[in-house]
Amino acid sequence: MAVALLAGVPGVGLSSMAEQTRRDLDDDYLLINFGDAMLEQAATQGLAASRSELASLSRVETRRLQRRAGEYVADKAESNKVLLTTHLAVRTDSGFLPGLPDAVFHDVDPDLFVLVEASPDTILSRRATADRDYDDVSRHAIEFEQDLNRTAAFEYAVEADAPVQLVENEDDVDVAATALTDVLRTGL
Amino acid sequence: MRLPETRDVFVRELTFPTTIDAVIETLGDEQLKAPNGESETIAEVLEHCEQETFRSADELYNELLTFVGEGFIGRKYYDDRGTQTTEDEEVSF
Repeated sequence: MAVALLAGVPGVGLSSMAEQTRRDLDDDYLLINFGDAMLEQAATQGLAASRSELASLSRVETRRLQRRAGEYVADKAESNKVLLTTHLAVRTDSGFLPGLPDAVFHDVDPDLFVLVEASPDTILSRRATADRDYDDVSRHAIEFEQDLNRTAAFEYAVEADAPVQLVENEDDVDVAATALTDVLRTGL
Repeated sequence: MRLPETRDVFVRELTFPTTIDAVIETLGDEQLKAPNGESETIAEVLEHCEQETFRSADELYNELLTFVGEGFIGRKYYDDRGTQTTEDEEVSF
């Protein structure tokens, strides 16, 4: 089977799009959030019980959890087309870390990278009205994080010999989700 | 199923926002596989949850993780693959 890696900065609407897209696809597909897999592992090891606590873990702890989560995804990809939502650049208290360290990258072995993007102003606006709390960051910081994602996506894509697709989620999430579904049906 | 697989099931079977009653009625019999102990059904896990509604799959997942039993929650720094030396640990010879 195969893995499509879907990434976007927090507030871009990635989860909503991925969930809507998943509903349009058949039973061959499986939607996995990499953070869910890390959080399960963190709970099992008594390290964290919530997403916010994940960001406070040491680099070594984070890498270990990423490795375990990567193995889980690889296992699931043996019998499913996995839609993996994740961050290519992970914001932690120590700074941004690569979302896919080498060992994780080779375990997950993505076949397609999809970057979901919107303008920084749109993302700031969505964050301001969202139910969840976001760190207070500037327009420039969002631009920086989207740039990091682009750089990471292309570097990973070169290594994996896999394509990168851009899906814009600027206005209507239904339109963006349809575009994402088309990309996945064609690319996986 | 393992906990991370619940998101896919939530998205396919539920419409958010949803209620705890709807979750239990639709998915209550689904077994959650515990890494370190007894598996539990979604209904058994949510029995202790006082939240009536869930706005998103994220929120429902977080609640599941809050209320799962001891089989899902490990001892701090325990790794079933054995002790691993890491770069931020001191080693004495």
